Amino acid sequence: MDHHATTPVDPRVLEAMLPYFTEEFGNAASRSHSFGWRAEEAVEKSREAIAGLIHAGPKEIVFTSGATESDNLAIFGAVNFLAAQGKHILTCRTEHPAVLDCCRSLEKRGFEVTYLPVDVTGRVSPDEVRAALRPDTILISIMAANNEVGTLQPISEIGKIAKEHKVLFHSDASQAAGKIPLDVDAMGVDLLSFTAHKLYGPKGIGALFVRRRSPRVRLTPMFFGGGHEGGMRPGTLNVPGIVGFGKACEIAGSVLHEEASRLGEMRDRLHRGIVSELQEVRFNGHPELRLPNNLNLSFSYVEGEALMLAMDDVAVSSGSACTSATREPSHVLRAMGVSDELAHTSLRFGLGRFNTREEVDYVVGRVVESVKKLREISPLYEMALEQKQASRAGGLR
Amino acid sequence: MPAGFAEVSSKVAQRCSELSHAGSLDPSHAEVGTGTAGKVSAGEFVRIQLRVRCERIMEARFKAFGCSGSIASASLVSEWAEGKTLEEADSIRASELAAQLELPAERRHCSSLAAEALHGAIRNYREKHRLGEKLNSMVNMGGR
Repeated sequence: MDHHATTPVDPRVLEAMLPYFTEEFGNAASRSHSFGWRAEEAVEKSREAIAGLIHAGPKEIVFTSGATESDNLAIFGAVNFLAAQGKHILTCRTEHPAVLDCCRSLEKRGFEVTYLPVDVTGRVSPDEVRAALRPDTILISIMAANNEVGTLQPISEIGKIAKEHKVLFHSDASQAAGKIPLDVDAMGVDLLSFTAHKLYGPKGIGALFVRRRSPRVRLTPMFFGGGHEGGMRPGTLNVPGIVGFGKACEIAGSVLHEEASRLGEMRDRLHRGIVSELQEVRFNGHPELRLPNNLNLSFSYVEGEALMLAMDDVAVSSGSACTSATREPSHVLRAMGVSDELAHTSLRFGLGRFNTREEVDYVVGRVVESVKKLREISPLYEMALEQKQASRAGGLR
Repeated sequence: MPAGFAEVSSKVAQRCSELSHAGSLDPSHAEVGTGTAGKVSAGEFVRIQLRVRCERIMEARFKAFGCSGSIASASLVSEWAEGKTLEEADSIRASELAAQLELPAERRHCSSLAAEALHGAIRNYREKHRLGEKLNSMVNMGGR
């Protein structure tokens, strides 16, 4: 249940990819023989399917190695191209490190970055976006859906503001693509990052939507050495990966609503099951405006990593990491105003296409059992119980 | 989610599964010393309690809010302390716990917390004991 991290390759996707490793091994850039032509045809057919998922034109899709590279190409590509026009970038505090680290790197080069706050549900305020814009703002980068709490950002409202101010708007849609309907025109985005492996496609292939009209977006490439992808991302195309990405997008688009509804029901079943058995479980995120498959909960008095280990046959993620003497909780939960103590107790569940109700019920049981076991050895839980008893006794006096 | 969880050794996993020596002792009891270490806001807080008779640790119990390394270290330090004299237990070092549990460098602080809590419990017992003796002597003086 950690499908925000990655997803298994759908068997239909694998089947579509397999011939392109063996008999159809042509280089899509080989124009002189049929192996190359067939590879190119497969790439272009897939490009259409990928563009279709976000209602873009096929020529607006640039293939990359994944969402991190797409984010880098979008941010560095746009900023390098527009550096003469301004030095200010707008993003938010709950972005993925793929965006935040790009921004920090640009700060070292003299660019100025505004990291917008979010509310308790993880949403950015469009008014704050408007207020933070400056005459020298050259890029806004706000994710479509958060990877930890699943909160959806008001992308189309921000898109309108960006258009009004003629500022380029990038969105990282790694988690949103294939989970919720995306339409680049309705969203008002100029650049959109997404990747195959989050939507039951293979790892190592992603895409960046680059708007071609109103406005025509220009990027300074990061790689050099060939004219592939309109010169924006040279390098021999990963044909099997692209074919798999295309098939994955085709399937995701065809089952989008049905799958969202099924995953939403299972997610709610998981949530209900857990809170019906456990007290002091806090929900993190937006109650409605969130990904259908995401559930992020804090289990008071129990540290997240210990909880993950206690139920090691269930794959989830934690907002707490024990990697150094100074332990920083999730930057997303912190930005949402969740206390450090509670942030350390959080778990992220990400349901996926192949999860079943039986698995959900099993996970409910494992979570409940593990939380109870760890609360038994938690000094914080003991102190909380003592305080409750004391206040009850005080109330009786 | 924060990336890069440090590896969990099989020894840590086993301790976290068995949770040996988990529990509480009455901190108000004259024979019990209590020590704590860590910060809740940092995601780790360890408590070690010792029941001591004639300078020997008769019982050691832990409670821990923290990662698997903190829980395993608290469990191990309690096991090692039990049966030892206060002086022997006071010489238990974090590095020994870390080595026994095969903690990677990123998790060494987990063993430090457990050792710190143990040493704190020993200090707490000794302070209580000294105070008890002082009170006893004052009572005896008053009785003359």
